[in-house]
Amino acid sequence: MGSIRDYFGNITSALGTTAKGMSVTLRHFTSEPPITVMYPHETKPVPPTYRGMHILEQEKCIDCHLCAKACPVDCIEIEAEHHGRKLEWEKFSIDYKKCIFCEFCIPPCPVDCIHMTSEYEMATDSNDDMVEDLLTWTGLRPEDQAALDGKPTAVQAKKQQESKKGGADKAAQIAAIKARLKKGS
Amino acid sequence: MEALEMYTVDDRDDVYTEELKLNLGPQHPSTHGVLRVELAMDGEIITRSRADIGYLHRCAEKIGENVSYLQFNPYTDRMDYLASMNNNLAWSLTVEKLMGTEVPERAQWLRMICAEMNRIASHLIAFGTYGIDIGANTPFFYAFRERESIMTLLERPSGTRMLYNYIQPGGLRRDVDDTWVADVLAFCDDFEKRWAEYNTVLSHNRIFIGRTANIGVIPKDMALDYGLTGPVLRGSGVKWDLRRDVPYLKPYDEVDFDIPVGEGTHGSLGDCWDRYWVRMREMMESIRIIRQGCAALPGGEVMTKKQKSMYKTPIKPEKQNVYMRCENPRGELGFFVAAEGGTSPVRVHARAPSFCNLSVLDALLPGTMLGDAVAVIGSLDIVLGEVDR
Ligand code: SF4
Ligand code: SF4
Repeated sequence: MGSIRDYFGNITSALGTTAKGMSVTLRHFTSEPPITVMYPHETKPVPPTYRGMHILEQEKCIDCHLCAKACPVDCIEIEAEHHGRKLEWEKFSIDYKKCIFCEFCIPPCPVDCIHMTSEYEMATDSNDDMVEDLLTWTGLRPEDQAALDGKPTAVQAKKQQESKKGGADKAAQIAAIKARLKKGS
Repeated sequence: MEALEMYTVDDRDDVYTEELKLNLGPQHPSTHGVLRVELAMDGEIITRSRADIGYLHRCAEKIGENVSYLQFNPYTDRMDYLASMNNNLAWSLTVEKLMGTEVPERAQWLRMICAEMNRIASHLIAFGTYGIDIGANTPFFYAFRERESIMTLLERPSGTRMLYNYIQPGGLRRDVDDTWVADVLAFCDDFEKRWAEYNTVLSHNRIFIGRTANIGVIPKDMALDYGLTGPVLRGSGVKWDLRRDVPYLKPYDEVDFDIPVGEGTHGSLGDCWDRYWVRMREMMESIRIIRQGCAALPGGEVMTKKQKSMYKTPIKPEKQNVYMRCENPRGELGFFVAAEGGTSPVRVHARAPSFCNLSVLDALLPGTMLGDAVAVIGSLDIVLGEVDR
């Protein structure tokens, strides 16, 4: 007798607990907004600290190779000729097949001229495309380009409009951009 | 190891069955990566098994001997990639022990908060994928939704979503701001509600209990004999947690939290459900720790100026051997380092919790059904990146 009661008891409790679980699912289905992002048509914003592809401020760089030495995977190749204080650049390339986006190349730079951008879409169909020469790389996202040019980024511009200051406070703006590019090193 | 030899089961001389050799994995979703389990089957029952590992071997320890102490930090990310923060923490503590570095107070508390957040994220994966193993799909998506919140939060100070490289020898890469702390607290409130939902959807489901209770039972002494650690050990009723017993971060001494252990709620002590339930309750304990941590978070810097010089000049510890261990989501992660005064260690060894926990698998599987093998593997919650290193 006991076993029969157990048998049916099992079935009822299985159905009961499953129904309870299903009610949670149903509540989510009806009353919670969808959280999926329709990538690539929409993208999620990345924080300013994001570790994406690198960018080099070529005119500031002094060819000291400290960034290359700090790299754990040796993926930075730098070639330049020194003519007195002038530099003739040949190559400043990063092999993104090897790069592990560890950010160790950023803090050692004595003149603070290498940064990481928010660019993460680097899928390609050829191995050679993965080696990017930073001297010629032009794939910057608008917000990074703006930050580099010293123009306000879209978010900053919007904030300025909201506060109705009209973009007069240039020093603060530059400080914000510096902070963004420096990323707390 | 040799491959399994197949024997003939000859009960009678004229009728006999041959054992069937079955390969579970390496490309099988229930093996959580590239684990291959060779099974000798007698019908539906497993008679012998052999876990075949090494498909994800990346020479992590050897790499450690060729890069500087700091440069090995991102490699530890890639061992247990579901709990990068905790791996970073273990390596950073090892290097700090070598150098005798003092870590600023604020960095210690932030380390604890980040490590506990990553512990929740890691347990969420264990919970979600375990549901999938058993045949419940919905919890997986719920788990990933909350994990996404954690990753977004950890992305803000660290800059990446999974392989953080945020906790570094001497402190943290950069400081967090007050809005981050407020967002973490908001997440904690939200998560509490979600956690109750998980239990309704999966934990207390009768079918789920039926699939996991009394399966893969690890008795207490067997757990100790095999050197199991983490939720797998605690699921067998052993109250051992490095956070409480050997507090490796000062704040762990100051916050108040419980250590959940298995109680044999649905049958034998140390079955799959016990291990699962320990993980679920650990998430709530982590939430408690995070709340206390956020409330007590002191001000100050997160890395001293002196320490920051390591970015330019690699550190050179004196000749000595050091072992340092941490409570990772999967158990005790320890690093042994032999230093000889150079910029890189002469020997690095990682005591990986998944590796040691996996060793019990071959003792658990014989005698169980094939369908239960999946439940057993899932309940050990291994990460193959860490097993193979
Ligand atoms: S991010 Fe790391 S791996 Fe990539 S170039 Fe910089 S140092 Fe090298
Ligand atoms: S460390 Fe800075 S200045 Fe030196 S080579 Fe690299 S980018 Fe140029």
